[in-house]
Amino acid sequence: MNISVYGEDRGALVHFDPRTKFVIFLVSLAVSANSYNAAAHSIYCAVLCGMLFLCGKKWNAVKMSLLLGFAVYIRTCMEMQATGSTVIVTIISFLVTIFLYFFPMLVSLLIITQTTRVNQFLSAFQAMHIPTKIVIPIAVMFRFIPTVGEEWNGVRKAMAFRGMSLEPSAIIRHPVRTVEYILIPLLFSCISIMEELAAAALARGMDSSQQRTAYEPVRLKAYDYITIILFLTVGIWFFAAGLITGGAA
Amino acid sequence: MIELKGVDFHYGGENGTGDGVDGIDLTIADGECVVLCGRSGCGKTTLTRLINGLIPHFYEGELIGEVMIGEHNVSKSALSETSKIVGSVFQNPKSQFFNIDTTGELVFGCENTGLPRDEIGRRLDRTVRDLKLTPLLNRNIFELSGGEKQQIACGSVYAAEPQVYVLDEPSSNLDKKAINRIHDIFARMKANGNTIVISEHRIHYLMDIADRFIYLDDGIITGEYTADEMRAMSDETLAEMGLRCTDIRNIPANMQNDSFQNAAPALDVIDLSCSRGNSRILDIDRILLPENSIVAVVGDNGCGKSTLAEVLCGLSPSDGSVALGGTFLSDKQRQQQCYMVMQDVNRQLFSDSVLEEVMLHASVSKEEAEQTLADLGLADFADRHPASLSGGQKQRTAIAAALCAGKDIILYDEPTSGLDRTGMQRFGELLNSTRSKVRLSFIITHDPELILHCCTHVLHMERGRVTAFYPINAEGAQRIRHYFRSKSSDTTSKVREKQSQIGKILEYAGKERSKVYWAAFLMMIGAAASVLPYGIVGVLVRKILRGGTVTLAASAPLIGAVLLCEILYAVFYMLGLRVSHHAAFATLENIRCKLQEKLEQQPLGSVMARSKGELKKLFSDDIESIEMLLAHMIPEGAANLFVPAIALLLLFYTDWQLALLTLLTAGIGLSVSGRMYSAGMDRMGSYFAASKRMNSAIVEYVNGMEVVRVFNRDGAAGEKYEKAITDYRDLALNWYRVCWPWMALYGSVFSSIVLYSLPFGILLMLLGQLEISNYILALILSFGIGPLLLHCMNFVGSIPQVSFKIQSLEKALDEVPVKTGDKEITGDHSITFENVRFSYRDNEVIKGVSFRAEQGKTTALVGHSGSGKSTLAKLLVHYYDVSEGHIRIGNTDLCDTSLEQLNAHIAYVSQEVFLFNKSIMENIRAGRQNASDDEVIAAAKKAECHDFIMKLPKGYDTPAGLAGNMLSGGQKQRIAFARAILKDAPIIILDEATTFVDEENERKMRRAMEQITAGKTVIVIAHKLSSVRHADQIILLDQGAIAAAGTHEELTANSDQYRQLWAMSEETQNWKLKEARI
Amino acid sequence: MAKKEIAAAGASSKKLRTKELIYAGAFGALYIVLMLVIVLGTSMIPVLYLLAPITVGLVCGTVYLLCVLKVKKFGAALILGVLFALCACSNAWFSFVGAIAAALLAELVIKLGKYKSKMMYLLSFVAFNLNMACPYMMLSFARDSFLKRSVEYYGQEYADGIAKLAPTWIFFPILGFAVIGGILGALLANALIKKHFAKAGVV
Repeated sequence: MNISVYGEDRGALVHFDPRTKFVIFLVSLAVSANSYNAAAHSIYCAVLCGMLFLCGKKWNAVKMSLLLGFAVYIRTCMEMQATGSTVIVTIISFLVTIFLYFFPMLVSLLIITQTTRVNQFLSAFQAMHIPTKIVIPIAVMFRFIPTVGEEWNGVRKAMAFRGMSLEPSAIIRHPVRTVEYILIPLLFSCISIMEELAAAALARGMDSSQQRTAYEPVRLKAYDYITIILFLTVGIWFFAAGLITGGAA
Repeated sequence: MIELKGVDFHYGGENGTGDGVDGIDLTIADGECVVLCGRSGCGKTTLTRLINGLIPHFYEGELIGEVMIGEHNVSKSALSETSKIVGSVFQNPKSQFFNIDTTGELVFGCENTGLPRDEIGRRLDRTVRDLKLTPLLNRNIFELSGGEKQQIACGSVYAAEPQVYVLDEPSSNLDKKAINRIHDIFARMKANGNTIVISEHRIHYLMDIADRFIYLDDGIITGEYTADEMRAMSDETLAEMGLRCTDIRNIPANMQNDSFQNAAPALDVIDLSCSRGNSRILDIDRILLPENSIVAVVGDNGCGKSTLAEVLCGLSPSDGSVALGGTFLSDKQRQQQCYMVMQDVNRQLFSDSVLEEVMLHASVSKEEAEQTLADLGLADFADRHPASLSGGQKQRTAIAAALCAGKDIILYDEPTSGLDRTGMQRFGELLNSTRSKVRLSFIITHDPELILHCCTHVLHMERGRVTAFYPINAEGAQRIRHYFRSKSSDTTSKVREKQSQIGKILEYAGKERSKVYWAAFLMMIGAAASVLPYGIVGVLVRKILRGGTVTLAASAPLIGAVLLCEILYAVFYMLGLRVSHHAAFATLENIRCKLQEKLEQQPLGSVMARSKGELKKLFSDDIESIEMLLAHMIPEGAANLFVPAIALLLLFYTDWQLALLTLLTAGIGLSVSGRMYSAGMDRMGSYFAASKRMNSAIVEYVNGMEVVRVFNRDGAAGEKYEKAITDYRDLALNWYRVCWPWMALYGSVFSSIVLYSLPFGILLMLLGQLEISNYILALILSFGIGPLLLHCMNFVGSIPQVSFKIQSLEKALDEVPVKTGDKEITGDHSITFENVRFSYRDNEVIKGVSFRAEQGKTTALVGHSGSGKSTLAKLLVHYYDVSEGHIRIGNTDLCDTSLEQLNAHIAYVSQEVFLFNKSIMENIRAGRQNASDDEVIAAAKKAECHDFIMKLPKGYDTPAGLAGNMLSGGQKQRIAFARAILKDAPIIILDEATTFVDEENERKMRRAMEQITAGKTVIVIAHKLSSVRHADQIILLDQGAIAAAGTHEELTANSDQYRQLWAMSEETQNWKLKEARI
Repeated sequence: MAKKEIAAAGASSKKLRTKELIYAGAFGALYIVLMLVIVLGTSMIPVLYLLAPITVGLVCGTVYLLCVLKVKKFGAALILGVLFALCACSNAWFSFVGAIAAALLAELVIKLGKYKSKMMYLLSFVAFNLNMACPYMMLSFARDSFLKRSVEYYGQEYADGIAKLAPTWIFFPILGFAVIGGILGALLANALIKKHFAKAGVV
């Protein structure tokens, strides 16, 4: 298992502020929930791919837009030909719809996690005046997810030596025992790591009452404002259109 | 100033680590470096926590007294205040960073204290510069090795610029390379005038930094020593105090005197390789480990030790054969017989009591289990929860579990990291006592004390290869001590490869990249043109089926279009190929130039250590194969994928259901070829290793043909040759055996895509879902794209081959170049060797040589063969970098000057004279390119070459290749002399030829030598003492060290060894002469 | 290894301190990784996908309980709930609110036990695990808008097909599963904590 939330934006064409990315994410949620117009939705998705491209994940952006194009194309072909048995059509169009529904969320999540560093997050949260009570756990969570992955890999190997199987059949036969064998070493080693982590963070002045400063500048630039305004307008438009269509039908 | 006055501390809670400290009175002056040492649990760590304020603000307990740093009361003020003046580094590298990227972590402390941005930037720059962290910037911390993480942790506190550094066992998880690095960092901190408090088990690396050692025992300070006092302590005293060694050189070796001569192999590994992603981590020809041995595996972090262990246990997939106790076993079977005691032992304790843990899946009775626990000193803890034990006890619990589960082979991953001496010795004894019960103990370790204490063999790895395997005897012990003292190369771990193979190749293409794209574009058009006719035919058929009448006249334009398409196809394809070949060959040129550049910078010694066959393969064959990729695979592959994709979209347009089915079949085909790719990749390593071996064997065989014939030694050489060829054959067959079924399968799947969609199509037609004309169009399109896909798949098959070649190329480019600078050589032309040490791999061949060769004097190096004479000469011409010490010419260190400068000052006449394949005239002129013919002839006369050259068929114009066969060794060397005379460098190094058969030749030789050496600084490597009797200085070398030095007379008077050597030399001399007369 | 803060420094304050925030974040990571592993591992089989509230509850109960028992203050469960909501429920606002409400309910239960009663701690997980039902809320709450969109895209016939696949009442059994998962998880956590963590002195 390879979980990594290491983001970097060195290849980016435009360095968006993390807050801009959050806005994009929120707008994407609104669009997903309120879009009733296939064409508008597709265009929005394409724009998101463009944003991903601008943020430096060019290859990913190309892949995502190919996927998007393919999904839309299939749907169009199906509509035009209007052939096929109902069951198959239902299943396939259900899959396509689900894919399109989650597409904006997926891409905007990619924009956030793959192109933002942890300390950029921290600074952005701070600039948004989000209380440290929320910021610290979120930052630690990002930091700790790969650690859990590492520990889990280690535990899995240790289980192999002791002849403890992780095959589905073994899990079904002894569900509780398997859970115990996974949880106990995983939890013990994670707890000792988190205690050391807390000690190290505190010894470096983590809980200072002083305002934290940021090495990475987090400032909304002109293009950030433009992007935010554009996306918000689009979001509101979708929302309004959704209300009208949803209400009317 | 740090002051602890009457401090008592005891941890709260029942299972605290250690018992705390009592009555601590300690004053540490500003700028002092204090090392806290003592047994595990003696209170060292508690003391550091008191200073950095984690006690009492993080760890609960009873505290009496107070800790002051200057005016700052640590125990009373908040942690965040203390953190501004105290910087802490902890033991475990993986749990002390808060960010995921390194740069963020470096500035973390500064950000917390609220420094302004510019200031943070300034400090970051300073930290990176002072601590040499540039290669680690902007990296994902999770990709770094433990040592690198620890450097980042040090950097993070360094950037915060505290007054006091508190370091809690910073070296326990590190390898020797990382220890060297953090040593330099600590030295830097001290040089900046900061106070350093280090709690540490390994003290040897701190001996030159520490001002004071404070010894704690059971929470009380019982001794204070200076570094000199510590150094003076005998090993017994240290052992009594539970302290580790102060100097690696003094670690006593506990030599195992049993011979493993007849031992059966416990582990036999043949042709093992393992790749992860695009890089090869392991590449091992053979390992044979004897039964009941305790093998230490050493090597820098990232050299593949852990991967090897995992592969041996069957945890990681690999290619190759591994036999345990004589039987070759599969991964699953090996998992059952092996057990690894992990570094993070927490991960492998599952039960709620020690006894339960040992009994879990065990094959023994309760009594036996209890006996095992008692043997390991765990009887008292049988009911305790494993998680409540100390680190060492947890480890022993894991070992007990392994023993009770009846495992044959136990692997340990750095078992003694963070253990004190007692713990280490105890572990050693444990190993010895379990030795008879297990087949093999395999220990990955960075701990020289453990190795010398209990291991029987050492396996040395470097970059995924086994470089040495030797038993710990007197020589082995010396070798391992040396290994741990020597510096490793300064490389940091590579940024993890994310680039695909194709991306990498395109990078090599550099400027030619656009041409590759252009070629791909042209070929796409070509390929599209090749498919179009199918479509046109489809349209025609459709027309017919729809009942239209098709006349020749009406369809003429369409037929014309088909013809046109065919022509377009041919034209564009040709154009594309031309462009791509253009790009490809330009790229090859780039790569070759780059390779040559790199090779020139590399230590000449390591270049020469490669076999000629290997180099040839690298330069010509491997690079050539990249041409295939660039010129064909990338553009054609792109075209061949692009067009089917378009065709597929068209198919969707015609009928989506049928298209979906086609897509499905294509998907199956792709996954099959994916299987083939990975299977091929796995075999590729051994395949190439074998072909490399074969090539070297062939070259060696051909080169040695003459000797072989003359001495009739056909047997051995021939056997080697034969074996290399059979190996190659077997592997090649093996590879094909793996791949062929897949090749056959995907061949059939692809060519019969139509077959699969046929029944569905018919079904759809019967259901009235599909029009027959559409169906036929679809069929025809399938026919059209089938071959393209097949073509494409063929390329996929050969990608592993090419990508492997690229890897070996990159490996070749990856050696550390020799250190050079751009200073002029100044001062006179004397040569100074100052305490020079040099090791080849882990074998120290020069051990602290110091001497001075005065300008204009002759210095002779004498000694038995293998005493290091030639190595000294090679060091002087900078074939290698010295490991320690300096070599100077005049005032200039060799490492500060360029190779060109050096070359202009030194003429090196080696034993083996290489004649270029040009005329003799040109060959002599190689000494100085702009010399006139007359100068060349004059030089030749001085070197006593003129006479024999004139006797050659064409005199000076005789080609050397032709002349080469007519010239004797002595004559060839005189040609080299002529070159040196022509060059007229102020320093001459003469590696004297070993054999001069006739006196005539020798006399001439001597005269030539006198010509060259007049007025120069000369170093002669003499094999025959009589020839250097009159040297100004004779240096007698023995096993890499100077045994004696002086003039011939002095040495004859003072040195027995010299007299012996002299006598021997005279004897062989006479014997040779006699033989020559017969 | 019991490492508690000294009584004087801040245990008396009911506010969470940095150290506890770090613990909460780390447990959050554990919770989420385990949840993702289970959900992704079982999503191959649709039935198991619907049963996720039970499987996740069973495994993650121990993580949750260790977290709240280690902190023993207001906020631990809430932070865990927020992290969960951020990762699993951000596709729809009502799911998000639902998940946070579940966490607040859990906090309330713990408070009723005055941050001491072990029974209440165990019970609070039943409330907390209700959040596992929230991602499924879409099936009921957003069903109408989803169906409308399908009508828009594909016509009535198709929308009816979908409606049959996911009936309105599907949410209630899932809620039930969440409660069952909560109870099972609390029971397992109780057993494991008694057997291991209390014995080793971690909580």
